[in-house]
Amino acid sequence: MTFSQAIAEAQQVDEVELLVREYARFVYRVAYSVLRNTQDAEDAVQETFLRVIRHSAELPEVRSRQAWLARIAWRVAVDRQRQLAVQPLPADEQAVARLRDALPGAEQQLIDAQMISLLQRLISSLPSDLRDVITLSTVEEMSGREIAEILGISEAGVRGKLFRARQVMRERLQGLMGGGV
Amino acid sequence: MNLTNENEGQEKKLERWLDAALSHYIDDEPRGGLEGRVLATLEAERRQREQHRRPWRLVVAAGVAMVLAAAVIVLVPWRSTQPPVDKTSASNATVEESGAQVRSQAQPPLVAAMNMLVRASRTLRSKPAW
Repeated sequence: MTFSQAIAEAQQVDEVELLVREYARFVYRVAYSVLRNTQDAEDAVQETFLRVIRHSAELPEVRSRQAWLARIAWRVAVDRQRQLAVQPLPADEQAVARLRDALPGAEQQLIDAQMISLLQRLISSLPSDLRDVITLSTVEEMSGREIAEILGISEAGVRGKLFRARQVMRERLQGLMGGGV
Repeated sequence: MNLTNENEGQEKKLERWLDAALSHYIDDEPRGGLEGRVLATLEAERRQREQHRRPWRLVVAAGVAMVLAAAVIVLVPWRSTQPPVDKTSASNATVEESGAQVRSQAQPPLVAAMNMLVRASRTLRSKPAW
């Protein structure tokens, strides 16, 4: 290795380390939104930054590192999800009953693991284009523009799909509860 | 009218529930020390790549050495078979011409060997860092 190559490599190492320290948890949240499992999400974080190293020459040309990392993390998580066996979601009759009984009250207090499981089932049942948008929207650092960039659609498309996804989930919830709220 | 109002009320309540649930969808946190574990993995990957690079350098260096050895082997016997320059010639121009002729004929194998050495070293320098 020549001296200049060694310098360039050292600089790339520093840049990647900075990315890890600044964005590892963000990448974890993107991966977790898809994989819904701590260990799988951490494995996806590792794989994401390994890919970053392999493409570190592109770093100087990247406009938004957060969006770039989110795109890599998203692809890693989706690929991994396909490889993993599909875990059946717990039955949600109890969650629906609780929601029906308690909805007139404080909605915020209802959000526990059982309710999150119900939400996960609702999201899983969506068509893939709506599911992808609503999943990425749960990562609070993600902007509509970044979601659009990752999915290759327009920002208006993101807004439209978000609206439609929520509409479908609401209708399905109403159907589950039998309109008895 | 009452049914419509009830439906609208229900829709709004479900919207609020969705807002709350979606805001908690990623409540899980990674185990402590995530950054350290990732950096350790990247360092291990870098070392592994470095180890894989070394054998290739040895191969290239061995190739260069073989080229030089081949050039020497070709050049030395070839030079020994060349007729000696006629030093008894009365004309300096003739001697110079003979010398120039010998030099020009002696160059190609050595030049070829040097060119191969330059190409090999360029190949070595152009190998990517990773």
